[in-house]
Amino acid sequence: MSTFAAYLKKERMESSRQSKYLVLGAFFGFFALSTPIMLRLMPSIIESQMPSFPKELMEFDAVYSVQNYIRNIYQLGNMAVAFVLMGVLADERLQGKLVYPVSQGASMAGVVGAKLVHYGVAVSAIVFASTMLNYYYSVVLFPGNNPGIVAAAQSAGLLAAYFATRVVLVAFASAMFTKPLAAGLVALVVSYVEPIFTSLPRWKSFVAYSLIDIAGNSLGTGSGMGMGTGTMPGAVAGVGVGDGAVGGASAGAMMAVGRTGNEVNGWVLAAALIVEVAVIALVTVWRMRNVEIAPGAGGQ
Amino acid sequence: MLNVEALSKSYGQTRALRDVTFQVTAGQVFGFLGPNGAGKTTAMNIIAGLMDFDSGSVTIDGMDLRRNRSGLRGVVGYLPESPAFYGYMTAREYLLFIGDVSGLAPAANRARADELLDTVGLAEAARRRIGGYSRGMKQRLGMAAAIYNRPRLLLLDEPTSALDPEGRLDVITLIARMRDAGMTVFLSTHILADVERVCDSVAIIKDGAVVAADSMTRLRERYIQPVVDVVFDRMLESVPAQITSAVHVDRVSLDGDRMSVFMRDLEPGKRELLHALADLDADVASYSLRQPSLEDIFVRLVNSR
Repeated sequence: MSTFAAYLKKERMESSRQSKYLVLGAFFGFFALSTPIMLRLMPSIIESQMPSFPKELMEFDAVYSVQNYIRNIYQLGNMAVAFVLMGVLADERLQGKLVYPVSQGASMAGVVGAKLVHYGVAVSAIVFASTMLNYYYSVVLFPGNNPGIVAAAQSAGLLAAYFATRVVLVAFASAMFTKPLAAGLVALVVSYVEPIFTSLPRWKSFVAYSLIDIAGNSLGTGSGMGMGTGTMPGAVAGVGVGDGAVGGASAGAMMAVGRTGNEVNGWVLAAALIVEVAVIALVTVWRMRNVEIAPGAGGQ
Repeated sequence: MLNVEALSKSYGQTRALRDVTFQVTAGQVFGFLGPNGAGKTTAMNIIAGLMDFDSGSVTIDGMDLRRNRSGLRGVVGYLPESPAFYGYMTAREYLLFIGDVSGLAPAANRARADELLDTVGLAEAARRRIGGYSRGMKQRLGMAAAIYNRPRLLLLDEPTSALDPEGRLDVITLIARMRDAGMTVFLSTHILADVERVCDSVAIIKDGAVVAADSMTRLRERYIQPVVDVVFDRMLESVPAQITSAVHVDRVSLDGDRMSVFMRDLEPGKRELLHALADLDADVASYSLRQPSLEDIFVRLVNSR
């Protein structure tokens, strides 16, 4: 327990002094603010470039705006989390920073546990806050079709839970690979490939990406680019095609009333993710216990 | 205290340690010597429980390292050659962190951190970030971290290599104090003068194998060949041949008017040499018995096999 508490304190200090909180907060906050603003400006921009473009296709509402943010932050947020946290365990091993703590009796379960809890909570809090900030600006800029603060908080919570699973994934990769960049890239590839499994009905309830789908769907039906209802086939995020969507920028953003949300059993998904996270965390601890942590012993 | 038996470790095809065997008695300072790449750091990493090994056994305080790895952590303190810290912390914060990991109570932790900062001469720099420290300062902080929870066995890998002469003397004095306090110290270093000053026993390792392991006294007895240096005012051509033919003389080396006589047996050899010089009526300017040093043993053992 002393290791867990000591490392929790150390991680807080490190994140604060190395501006990790600031980087993640600024990143998610920037997109939370800029996404509705860009959406608000889009009609004027398109009108100035294409005067004949039908105006009814550019009527956005608050639901669509928040869904647009969720869609964007899935792609960009994964990059931020992977690249900020890729060295969370690899750096400590590679640079021999675990030598003193371990030779003084530190338990590897305490080290890994403190890192997972600290970054899991920190990233989740930042994601939750930025999503609520996005909701606020979306309602201010698009007065119609307010999803309601409860639905927004629910979506923010699901998004936060998704990114907590990403923290565990990045830490796992960081324990498996000696080079932090390799760990970050592997975690990123896994996160981007994962949505493929949501197109398989049997797999949907076991994949963390379903949290993103549900977060978008739980806001209700969004309106944008002239569509009555936006749907985002659960296949590959980023290439999702909204019904009647015009333009690549908005295509993947249609997440409302997608079929995914209806087919995922929430309880099964929650149980599956808890088990997955626990197994990955245990394997991470096992790996760190068995890997050589002496300085320069990074050949594994 | 420490018993290493037939320890072997390979990195791929390279055998870093080959059947390494030695014993360290409790309360001793044990010197671990060898040229670069001999396997010293690998052996230390294994004894510190940071690296696995292929075969053999390591017993610390009667406990097998493999079976009691977690139990032995805290018993062994380790100062690596290049200690790594969190550069954003101050020295005091780092030591408090080590104390937290060790489970020390907050008040005892603060007292221990301040005591050790004072001991290693970092009290004035205690609130500066470690990232701005010199290598010597990091070495001192590493020493403080290694002995933080009063380990019974302390492993020091080149603890004085980054220090100035004054700092070296401080560290050697500190090592002697730790021995006096009952701690067993396992010291790896290239600086043989440090070993001579503080070590009770020594093991010399070459190409992953121990070539000698014994107390300093017995090593000197066994491995140091007595040498008498004779300087002549004028060297006679017949002198070297005459001296070489003496019964107790092993060989003779010449350097201008200086002749070094390597003895097989010192006491009868000295008498024989003096008689021979008197018989030759040589103009002897000086006659001195060379003080044996660990360097002589080291060079001889490392170069001989």
